[in-house]
Amino acid sequence: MTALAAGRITARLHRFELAVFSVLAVLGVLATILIATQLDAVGWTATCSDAMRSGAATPRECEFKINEFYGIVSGRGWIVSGLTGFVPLAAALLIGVSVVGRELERGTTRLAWALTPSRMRWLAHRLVPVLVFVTVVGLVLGAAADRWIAAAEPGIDPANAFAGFGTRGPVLAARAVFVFALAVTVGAVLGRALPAVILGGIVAIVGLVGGAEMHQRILRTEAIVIDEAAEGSGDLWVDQRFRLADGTLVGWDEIERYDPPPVEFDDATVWPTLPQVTLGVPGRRYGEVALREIGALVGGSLVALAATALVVRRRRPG
Amino acid sequence: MDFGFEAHHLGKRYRRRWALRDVDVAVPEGSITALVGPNGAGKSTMIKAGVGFERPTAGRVLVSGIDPWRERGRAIRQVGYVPQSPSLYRELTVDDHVHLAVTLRPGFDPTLARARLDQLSIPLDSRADELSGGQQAQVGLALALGARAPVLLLDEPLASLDPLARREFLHVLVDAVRADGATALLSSHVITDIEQACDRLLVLGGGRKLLDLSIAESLAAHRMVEAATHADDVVGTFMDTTGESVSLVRTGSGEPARGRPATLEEVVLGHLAAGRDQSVLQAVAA
Repeated sequence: MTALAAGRITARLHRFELAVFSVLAVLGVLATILIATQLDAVGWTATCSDAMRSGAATPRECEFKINEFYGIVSGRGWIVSGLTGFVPLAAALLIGVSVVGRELERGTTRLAWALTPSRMRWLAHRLVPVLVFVTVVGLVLGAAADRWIAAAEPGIDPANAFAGFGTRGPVLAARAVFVFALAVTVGAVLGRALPAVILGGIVAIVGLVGGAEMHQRILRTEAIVIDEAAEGSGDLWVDQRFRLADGTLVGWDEIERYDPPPVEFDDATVWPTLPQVTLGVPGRRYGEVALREIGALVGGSLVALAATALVVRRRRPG
Repeated sequence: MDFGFEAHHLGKRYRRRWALRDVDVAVPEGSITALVGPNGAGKSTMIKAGVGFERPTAGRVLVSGIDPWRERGRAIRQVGYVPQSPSLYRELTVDDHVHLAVTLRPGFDPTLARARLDQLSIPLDSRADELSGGQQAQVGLALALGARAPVLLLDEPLASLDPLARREFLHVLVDAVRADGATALLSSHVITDIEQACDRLLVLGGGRKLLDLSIAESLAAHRMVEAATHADDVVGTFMDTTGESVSLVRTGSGEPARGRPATLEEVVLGHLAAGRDQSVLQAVAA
């Protein structure tokens, strides 16, 4: 009963943001369904995509569809990727900074913290309902983005492909939760909403880019040689290597020593004669990699929320 | 005697400035004590220390015998606090605030809070930002009273209220405190109002305690005379409303009374003048 009442009050405190981002989320889902359906209707199949990717002659049934298909992807597709990618993170940032930051700025913490024997209880009442909202928005738009990837890249299985990694599926929701947690912390430290939005945005970008870079480095160490025959459009490309006669793999920086005459890297017509292989992470590992990324993001979020709890425990109430 | 609020050698420093220094206070249980002093006297700091919002630099504060900085949760259960500005959530209705208090405060009495609001005809379905300043202050007081706390700490709640709203506020406060036997510490600038509501007077100036007596003792212990700056019994000298210099003096034991009885306002002004002179002397000495 108390939890429900607390949730209702928190929803009222954030009703403007909740209403705006609910509408944007619904728009994102509707736009995705509509535009993905239009893409499906073009009839651009996996055969067409594969032929285009491999540089083979365009099959007859694909000839007249290419302009229409890619016209939609590069035109209206921005609406979808914009809404699905932007809304969860924007909601996380703007709602996150207001959870503690706006209350400190307006001085309402003086009332609330004098009423409650436990500031942690207050924080939980404020956090949980909006955290659930941000998570749901992230999951819904993440699922919409999955649908979009399936339509925009025919032939791939979103559950087994790295295409659009981080901008779709549950990873998108985890990123939104991470941004939310960082924004809550920045809001609690600064105690002012607008500066917290700016600084929170910067911290979120640094956090996400830094996290992605770190993850990329881990994936580099896990990359394997993917046979050309087994290569799929859902694999994550990591690097290109040359295979020497003894099976050793070397990169572009070493190839001159093994493949004379010297390669002129600026001239695309001169190509090393050794066979090239792709280093990558097979698409079938997507679920496992995504789960690891989600775990890291949730862990980071918990650390940020623990920092917020410390700040709230010790802070003056504005 | 038991005390609802105590300060022992309380000191609070902000950077280089001491807001409070070596203040000893003991507010008896069941009393309504007026905390008076000019801006910067340390009134808010003392009250905030009582809610655990400020950490003392020296000494300590106790509410119902509990140190709010060390045991904030336990101390908060003993305190109903009304901040200087009502600090209501503008998006919420009055009734939402009562619900909020129920969710945050174990044992909060929503019936009591609603009854107080009803008594003042404050509509429960009004949003906080639709209420007048006086009504907002009343909502703050109703929430503090609904907590049924043994100690009420009120930080200049009358500052922005018109005379009628002040009168109503004090009426509700006195009624509630007398009914529950609570202890109240009320900081205010408005001396005429507190004279009717309070039974003790605590004057702070320059971060130090200048006077701590019951209202009756304060009045009985002082008289007003024409400016007499060098007499031993002079507390402080200040200008009266006609521009004449007048002095507040202490009544001596057994001596014939001179001058006329002092009003509570004059008692306060005399001690504030003394506090100001002391600060000047300290500054010169430093």
